[in-house]
Amino acid sequence: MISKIHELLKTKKISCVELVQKYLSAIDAMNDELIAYVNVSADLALESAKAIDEKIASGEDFDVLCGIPMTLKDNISTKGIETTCCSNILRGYTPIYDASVWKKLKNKGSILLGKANMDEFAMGSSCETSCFGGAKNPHNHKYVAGGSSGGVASAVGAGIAAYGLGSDTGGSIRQPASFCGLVGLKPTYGAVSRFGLIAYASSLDQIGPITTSAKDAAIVYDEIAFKDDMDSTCKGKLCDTVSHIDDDIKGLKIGIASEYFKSIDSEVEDSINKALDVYKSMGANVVDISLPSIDYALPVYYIIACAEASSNLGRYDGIRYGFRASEYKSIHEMISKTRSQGFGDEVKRRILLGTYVLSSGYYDAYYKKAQMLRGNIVNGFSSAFENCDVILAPTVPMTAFENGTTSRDPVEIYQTDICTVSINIAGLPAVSLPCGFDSKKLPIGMQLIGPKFSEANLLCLANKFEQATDRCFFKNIEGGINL
Amino acid sequence: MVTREELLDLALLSKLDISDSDIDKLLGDMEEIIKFADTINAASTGDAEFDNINDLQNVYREDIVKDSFLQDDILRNCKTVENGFFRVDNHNHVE
Repeated sequence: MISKIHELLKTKKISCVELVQKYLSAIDAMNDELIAYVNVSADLALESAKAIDEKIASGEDFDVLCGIPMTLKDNISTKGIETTCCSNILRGYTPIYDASVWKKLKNKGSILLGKANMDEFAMGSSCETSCFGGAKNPHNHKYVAGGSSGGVASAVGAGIAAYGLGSDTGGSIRQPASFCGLVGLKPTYGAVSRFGLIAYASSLDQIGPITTSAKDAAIVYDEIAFKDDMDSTCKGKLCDTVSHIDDDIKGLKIGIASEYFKSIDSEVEDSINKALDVYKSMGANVVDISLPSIDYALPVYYIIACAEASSNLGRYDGIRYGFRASEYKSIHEMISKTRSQGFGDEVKRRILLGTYVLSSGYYDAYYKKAQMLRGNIVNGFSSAFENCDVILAPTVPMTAFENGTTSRDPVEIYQTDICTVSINIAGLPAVSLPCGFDSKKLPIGMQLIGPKFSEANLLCLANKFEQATDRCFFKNIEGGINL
Repeated sequence: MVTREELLDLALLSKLDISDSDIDKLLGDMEEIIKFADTINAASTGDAEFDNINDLQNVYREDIVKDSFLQDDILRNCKTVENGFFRVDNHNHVE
C-alpha cells in the first residue's frame, strides 16, 4: 500500500490533498461504527498534505513515507494533539513534545489522520477497556478488533489509514493484527525508541508498525528503528530490512515448539500446518524444538508487567496534567480520589497486583522469582535458536472475541495472551501475519519469532508467504480506501 | 488469599479509594489473580538470573546545559497555576 501510494503521488495521478480528503471522508463514514479513531486531526492533516503537494510540484525528491496518511496509537505523544491513552485520567492532556518515532515520521512527511483507540493504558486484549468504548473488527463489527492496539488495527484493516504505529507489551501489536488480518511487527526490545511512548511496563514495551503487507512493515521499521539519545535502552536496527525482503529462504530452519500449540483452536492449528507446508514447498526445513521454560510465561509476564505498571502509573496524581477530582479535603484525598475516579477497573486491578507483588513479604515470592524465571525463558530461547533460525507459532489460540465477552473473568482473558507474552519477556522480535480464515470468516494469524535484531529475516519470511499465497489472506473492506 | 484489611492496605499504598460497594467484587478478582500468580510457585528456577534484556550498562553523558522546555509549556496542562507554580489546595475544596 505504501509503495502504491508513493507511485500515485510521484506520477501525479492523485494529489496529496485529494488522497487525504478520500481518507477523511471514509473515516467520516465508518468511524462512528468502528471507533477506530478517538481523535481525528483533519485540519492538520490537510495542512500537511498541502505542504507536501507543494514539495512534489517543485520537483523535489520525496521519501517513500512522504504524504502517506497514517495513524498513531493514543499512547504515542504528539505535540499539540490530545493524547489520552484512552483513559479518563488523561482526558484533555496535550503533550508539549513529540515521541521520537513520530518526530521522525513527521519529518519524513507522513500525515497523521488522527489518534487511534486502545485499551486504557494498553492494559487489555480487546480494546474494550478504552474509556471511549472498544474498536470494532472491520471484518465483522460484532467482534472486537483486539488489543491493546485495537484502534490502529481497526483503522488499517478497514482501509481508513494506510499504516499505523502501535505498541506491544505482551502482544498488543500482534494480537490485533492477527484479529484484523494484518501484518504486525513487534521489534526487538531496544530497536525502537520509547521516548514519548506513555509507559505501561518499561522493560517490555516496544513500538512497532501495523500494516497491510510485510514490505510496508519493513519500510516503516527501517525509519523508526534508529539509535536515540532520548532512550538509553535504544540501540536502533542492525541492518535495513527492505533490502533483504526478497532474500532466499531455502534451507532456513523453522522451529516448531509444541508448548505453543497447547489448547489452541483446531481451525487455527490447521491454518498453521498449511502455512508450514507452504514454507516447506519453498525449501525451508521444519524442525521440532522444545521450550519448556515458556510454560510459566503468562504469570511471569503479569507479575512483572503489573509491578512496573504500579510504579509507572504512580505519576498520575492530578497535579500537573489530566483529570483532577473536583471535591477533596486534603492533598492525599485529592490524589486518591483523582486516581480512583480517573482509572478504569482493569488499570486499578493491575496497579493493586503490582503493588502486592512488590510489597514487603511478597517481593521474593513473586517479583524476584518472576525475574529469575524470566532468566530461564531468555536462556530457553537462546538454546532453541541453536537448532533453528525462526520459530513459527500461533499468534493467538483463537480468532477475535465477540464484543462484550471480555469483561467477565480477568484471568480467563489473561490466558488468551499465552502465545505472545514470552516474546516480550525475552525481548525478541516477532511478526504476526494472516494465514487463514475461520468458519466465521474471521482472520487467523501466525507469528514468526526470531533471535534479537533478526527483523530482516522475519519480514523476508513473511513477505515470501504473502507472495506464495498470492495475498489470499488479506481482504479489502468495503468503504475503505483501496487504491 | 487476600483479606479485606490487606486489600485496603494495598489500596492505601496504591493511592486508590475503594468504595464499600466495590470491595467484595475486587476481593474476588484479586483472589483469582493472585491464585493465577501463585502458579509460579511450582516452577524451578535453577540457577537462572536476570538483570536486563540487552546487557545494558549505565549510560553517562556530559553535564551540558541545553535548551529545555519553557515554563509556560510545562504548566500548560495544569488546571491551577499561580506565579509560575503548580498550585494545589491542601484544604476543603469543592469546584
